[in-house]
Amino acid sequence: MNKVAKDEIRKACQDWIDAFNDHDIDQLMSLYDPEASYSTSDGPRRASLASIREGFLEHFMVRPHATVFEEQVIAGGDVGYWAGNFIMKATNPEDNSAIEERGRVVVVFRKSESEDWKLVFDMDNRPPDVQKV
Amino acid sequence: MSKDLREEIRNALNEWLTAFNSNDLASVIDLYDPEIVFANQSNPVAIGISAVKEGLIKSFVVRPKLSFKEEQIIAANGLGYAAGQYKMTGTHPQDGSTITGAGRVVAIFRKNRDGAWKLVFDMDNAPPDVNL
Repeated sequence: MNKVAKDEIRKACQDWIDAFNDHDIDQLMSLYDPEASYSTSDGPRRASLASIREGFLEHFMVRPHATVFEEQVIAGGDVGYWAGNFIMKATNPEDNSAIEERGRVVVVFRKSESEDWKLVFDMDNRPPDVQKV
Repeated sequence: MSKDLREEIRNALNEWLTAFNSNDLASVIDLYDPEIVFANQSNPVAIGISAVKEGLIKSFVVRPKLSFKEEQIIAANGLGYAAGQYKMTGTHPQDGSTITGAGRVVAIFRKNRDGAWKLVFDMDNAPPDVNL
């Protein structure tokens, strides 16, 4: 497999994590493909950039910080994906209590006309093997 | 994006569904990439064909049938995916009662050296808006 393409996928994923952890909505949304969809386990599917943006603005209220652990990266042609598990830490704005979530995620990227990898699909779940502390 | 490539991904998924719904273990296994990762919402991640095969053998005890409603297909030369909603029905082997489940799934396929699309990543979850 093309190591260069795999590393490009890893970098695209890291750019997404950095923008997310900075709560920089404009930077974050600049990383999305126009056809992006987000299939989270605890909410309805978001199938437009406007809907995805709205979801992140709501999520940023708890000041989330994500740490990810890679399990698989595959790249082929102009599509590639990163899969792994994550820990999400946040703060409840009402009482400042800590929030923590663990899960597994896959993010699929597609190369744009300008040769940038853009996030086109994002899905997560909450399996038992990532729930252990 | 090539409509033909999207159709190839659709066909690869349909082939997998046909084999799964026939509970034909050998045919299902033949459709997997050697690096398959099955990220099921209810079980630990299964990596590799032998781990996935072990899970399928357990699943087939309830003679499961799957239906699928497509929400998105994206494909390029070499890699593509189908995402959508699924509904599973099965039969409890001890009392004959019906088992059901539903959720959302993504199936990512990789083209091998022979030009065949093989399933390399499979994840599901159970969000509240599934209506299949």
